[in-house]
Amino acid sequence: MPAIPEKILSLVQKPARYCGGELNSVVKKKEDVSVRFAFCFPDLYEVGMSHLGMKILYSLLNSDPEVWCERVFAPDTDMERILRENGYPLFALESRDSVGDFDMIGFTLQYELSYTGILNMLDLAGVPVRAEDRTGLKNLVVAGGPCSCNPEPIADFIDLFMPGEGEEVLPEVVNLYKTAKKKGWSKKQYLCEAAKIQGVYVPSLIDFVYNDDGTVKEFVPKETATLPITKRIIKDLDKVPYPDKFVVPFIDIVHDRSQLELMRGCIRGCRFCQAGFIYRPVREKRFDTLCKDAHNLCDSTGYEELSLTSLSTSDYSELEPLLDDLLEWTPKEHVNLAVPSLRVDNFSESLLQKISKVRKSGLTFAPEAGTQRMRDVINKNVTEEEIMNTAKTAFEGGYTAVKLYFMIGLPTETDDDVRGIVETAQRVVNMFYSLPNKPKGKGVQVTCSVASFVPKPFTPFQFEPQDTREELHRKQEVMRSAVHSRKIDLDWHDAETSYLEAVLARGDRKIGKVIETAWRKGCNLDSWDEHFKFDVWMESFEECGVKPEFYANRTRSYDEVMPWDIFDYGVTKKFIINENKKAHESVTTPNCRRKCSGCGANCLKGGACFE
Amino acid sequence: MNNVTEFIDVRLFYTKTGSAKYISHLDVMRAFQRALKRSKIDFWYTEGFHPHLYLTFALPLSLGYESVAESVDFRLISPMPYEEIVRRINAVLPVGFKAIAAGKPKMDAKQIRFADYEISFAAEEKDVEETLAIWYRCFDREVVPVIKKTKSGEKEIDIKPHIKLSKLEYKEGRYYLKARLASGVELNINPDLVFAAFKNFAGFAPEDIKVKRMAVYNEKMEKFR
Repeated sequence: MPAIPEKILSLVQKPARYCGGELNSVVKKKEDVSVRFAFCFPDLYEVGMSHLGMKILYSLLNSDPEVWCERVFAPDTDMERILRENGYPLFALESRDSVGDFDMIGFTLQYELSYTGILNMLDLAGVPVRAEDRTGLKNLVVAGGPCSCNPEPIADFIDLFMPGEGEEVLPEVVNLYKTAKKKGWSKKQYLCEAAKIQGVYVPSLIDFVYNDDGTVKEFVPKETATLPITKRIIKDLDKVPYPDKFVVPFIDIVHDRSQLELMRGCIRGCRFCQAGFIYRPVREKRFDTLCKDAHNLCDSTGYEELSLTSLSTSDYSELEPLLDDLLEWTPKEHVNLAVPSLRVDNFSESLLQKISKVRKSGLTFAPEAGTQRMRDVINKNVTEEEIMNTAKTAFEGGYTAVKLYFMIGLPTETDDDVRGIVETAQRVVNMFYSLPNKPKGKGVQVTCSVASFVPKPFTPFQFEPQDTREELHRKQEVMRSAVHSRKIDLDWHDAETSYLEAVLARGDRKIGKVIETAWRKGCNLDSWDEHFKFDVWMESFEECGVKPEFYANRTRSYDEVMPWDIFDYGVTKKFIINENKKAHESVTTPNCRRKCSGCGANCLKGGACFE
Repeated sequence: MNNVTEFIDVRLFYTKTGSAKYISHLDVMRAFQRALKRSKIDFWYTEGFHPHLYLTFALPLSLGYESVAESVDFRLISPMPYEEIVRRINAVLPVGFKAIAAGKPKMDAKQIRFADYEISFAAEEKDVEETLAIWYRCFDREVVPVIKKTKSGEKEIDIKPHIKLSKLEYKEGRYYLKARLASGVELNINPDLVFAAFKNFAGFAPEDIKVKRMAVYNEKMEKFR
């Protein structure tokens, strides 16, 4: 393929997406390294560049002088057209070399709707999309990230998966590749050796056997593969390198700031939340490590904003001293603090005072469901009173617009629960007008953003059917007709996107040909409304003889073998089943800090989560 | 009591070359905000609700152009030798940007009247002699009309009095020229306008146009400093 001429950059929108050269990007000489790794994010630059995991692994891989890791993002449609029309390959930003020149091509799997993007990027690089068609060791395609907890739908395309956290296993896999290259191993030899590493899944070494009804009968490991494959975690987050530099983009990206990772995992155990289960056990970083990380990042990037990130920031046990420290120096250095993902139920008075010094970026909370019964089912341990108190504090603090996140289609949901969403919003509106000290001269605006529930692997709801699209549409109508105030805005994602997400999330290897068919028919960047082609997807299921409702709308029994049962994610199936039963009884489970419920994940850590 | 912070105005001259030409003016401003912050020089920040580093750029450069004559103004709250400023800023600028000099601003950006450019382009499908001939026929006219977009809409202007073009030379597949164009707040003739005028006249557009700004002047043809 011809090299990328620079002039194509002047033919596209936002050329800075493709030109590289950002501050802190790493340029090495290709002669000096033994492994070239293309880190691919199957979405646009603005989305991918916001992703913390990529920053961590980019910095980690490049700390090895023998490895050069470069970044690759999905091109937007204008760039793709130019590449295809002229026969230019997809290229990596740092060297502008074709992705097809790289030893290893790694994808991060952040959401199911990015799967077609993986195929498209491989194809643009001139790399065969199916693993079996890539016969050599070169262009080894690897993947990791949250969706690798059920990678079966894309197992036909990827040579090797790394479920769990990547900081240790990825260098192991890359180092093995160095050996393989030196010794001239075949791809098969490499994969057989790699399968011996803990937390490495090689799909070609495990056969899936199905029952007549289409469910999984058993897994048959071959060669060196053994089961189950235990996900990798970092036991001590204070000892793993955190990047002291972020690549600072020129163009505005989704999260354009320094990000300080406080902890991994979440103590809450909300039953719908996949992140809450697959990132277990909870591990916090120490306060002094964070202070050091924060200084390093601010100094090396010049960012004007620092955000504290985790699944539930207000659960970080040393949040107050951390805020004290940060609030001491950040104003002097002209850095704003941003504190997202605060829970509504644990705003202490003194925390609130500290937060009030932090720049406000709009107020959002996530009650997730509209009635107490429903919140008990999903184990979102938030009461109506707490929601009202938080809103009240917000209004008294001068806010007049709040955004509430909800879901419909949750297990056991009735129309009363659905109407409860609107009723909760109405009570927030009424409370605003009842306040004697409400902000003067302004109306209130309560926005309810309502998602359709998607059952996910490794959650207690992995057994549950998703509501059919018809049912979701009907429930949306129930909500719409319950709104009697112009102070309430409802918005929702379309049920079609959630339906496809449900199929891909709990799919098995039979879905692979559907993904390939849909991509060949033009599906790409499916998470973007303007690119999402639902009809084409349905056509593709039809052509491949695969029934999407089998995956989305079917109730699984507790003893059914799930495609993701090849993995041990720490949390036991027994615990998941028990949580599912408790959900159906509307019984809640306390958070991990109050009481350990014995999910099993602490085995990965080798000890109790909390002292 | 009137508590005005004392500050020192500094003008920094820099170049923007290579792939940095694909960074838009807005993005350049943000990149400088962040770069200067990294330099840990004591800059003056605005005193509003959201304080930010005070930066003023003279004569924004179009996306896709290179330049060896860019400048940005900022304020310091404690003095520092100009060479030191240049050294420290060079240590923090992204690839493609290079500080070349700093000094006390001598002119107001409003005084800018002209800018020099080095321009090259290709026209592979066209005969060389013919292209040269059309070029001269186009720009030797008494009036060179072109549609210019302004804030108040589009209007046709004659750019002839505002442009001075060197001979067009052909070398190994590309055409080269130098241009001195009216520039600044009152009347700004962008090199793109020159090519728009040519395209209207010739019926074809030159390809792969490369533009580099070489110098910026005031009315008396003194270099902007």
